[in-house]
Amino acid sequence: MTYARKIELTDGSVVVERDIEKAYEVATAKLPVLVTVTKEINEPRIPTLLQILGASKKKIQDISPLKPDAGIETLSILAVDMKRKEVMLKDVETLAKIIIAEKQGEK
Amino acid sequence: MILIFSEDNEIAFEILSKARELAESSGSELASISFGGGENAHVAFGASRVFSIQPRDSSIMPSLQADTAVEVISGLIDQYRPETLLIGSTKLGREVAPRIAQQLGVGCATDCIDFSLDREQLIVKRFVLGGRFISTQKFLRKPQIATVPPKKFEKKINGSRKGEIIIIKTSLKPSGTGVQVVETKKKAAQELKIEDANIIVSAGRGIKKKEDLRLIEELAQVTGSAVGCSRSIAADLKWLSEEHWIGLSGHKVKPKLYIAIGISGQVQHIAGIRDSRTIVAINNDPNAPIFKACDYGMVGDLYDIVPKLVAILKKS
Repeated sequence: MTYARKIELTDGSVVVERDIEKAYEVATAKLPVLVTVTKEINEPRIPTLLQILGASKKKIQDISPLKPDAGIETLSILAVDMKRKEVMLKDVETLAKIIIAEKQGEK
Repeated sequence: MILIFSEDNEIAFEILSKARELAESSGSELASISFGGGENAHVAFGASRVFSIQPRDSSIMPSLQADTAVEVISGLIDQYRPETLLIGSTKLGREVAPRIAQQLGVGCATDCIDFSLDREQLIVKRFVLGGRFISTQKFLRKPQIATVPPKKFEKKINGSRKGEIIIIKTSLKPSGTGVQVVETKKKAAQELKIEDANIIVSAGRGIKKKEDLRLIEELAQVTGSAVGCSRSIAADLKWLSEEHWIGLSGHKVKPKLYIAIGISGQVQHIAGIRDSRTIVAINNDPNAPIFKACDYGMVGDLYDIVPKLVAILKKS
């Protein structure tokens, strides 16, 4: 079940509210179930100072990375070239003129 | 065969228009899947074959579920063996594409912004690493599955084009996933679909109080624009709803004119506005990164500049 914004666990099944394109859809499924969630699912709590200090003592388990076969080969990764004019303006009148010109240009 | 699917006909037409070029340069056949009508338009936008999916035992088209779409498309792939499958990047499409790829053990590239086809080898370009880089990728196996964001390609219609329409009647009830839809609640009519705006005036952290968004709204009104905002305004302060949030995790927009006010221009924000035709920025920090990503910039206090700008624009 994808795009869950609310999850409720009841006896042996789950009720989720899904955020789909034009509606919210309430759906149920029996456990076990795989659910992916959206940003609205939870507000993360801010840890207390003690918890932050305590975190440094927790053991971190390293897992060697899997080598997934994605079926895709990357040929190149290039920085995005932003070709922008970068003209700095001094007065609001010029700025207004540019906005008016652009606004007319869009029609 | 290049096979196109989007449950949103508008997106299907955009992809068909682009795929028509690919099909012609490579000599492939172009086909599309239509759920819920518009078959002739599919042909006019480039499909030489349209698979029209219709419910078997009812005249009403149920709302399409990902499970159903996966079943139907997988069935077509089995039968017709397309070498390329292009799917519209809606919420449904982004779920359907990887599921089909997973079933077939082939690659899936999401949100591709450009395509080329060399014989049957599909090569795609997509943003990676937080939108800072463009990666060029090729597929190692077939079918090559990619998703295409809305509004990426121009629709090109040719009414005289001929095509074959194949009606496929199916139950449209997915088998054995165990998920049951209990209720569908329509979202409140969105006052805003920011992707559709020609001009966007956008507010950032330079706005000090929620009430001051009024300045932005006034400017939006005189320019006839939609109001957008950066991450902090929508996600942290919640002064505006997420419908207004522009950026890598918010909405990606390509207006004719984008006016960024009090937005520093973090790379995630820039990733959301990169396709704008003209970008104007107002910010009090001359070193703000937005000035390296805009066409016209003005350093100054937005509380001073915006009211003046509104006054001038009102007069003209």
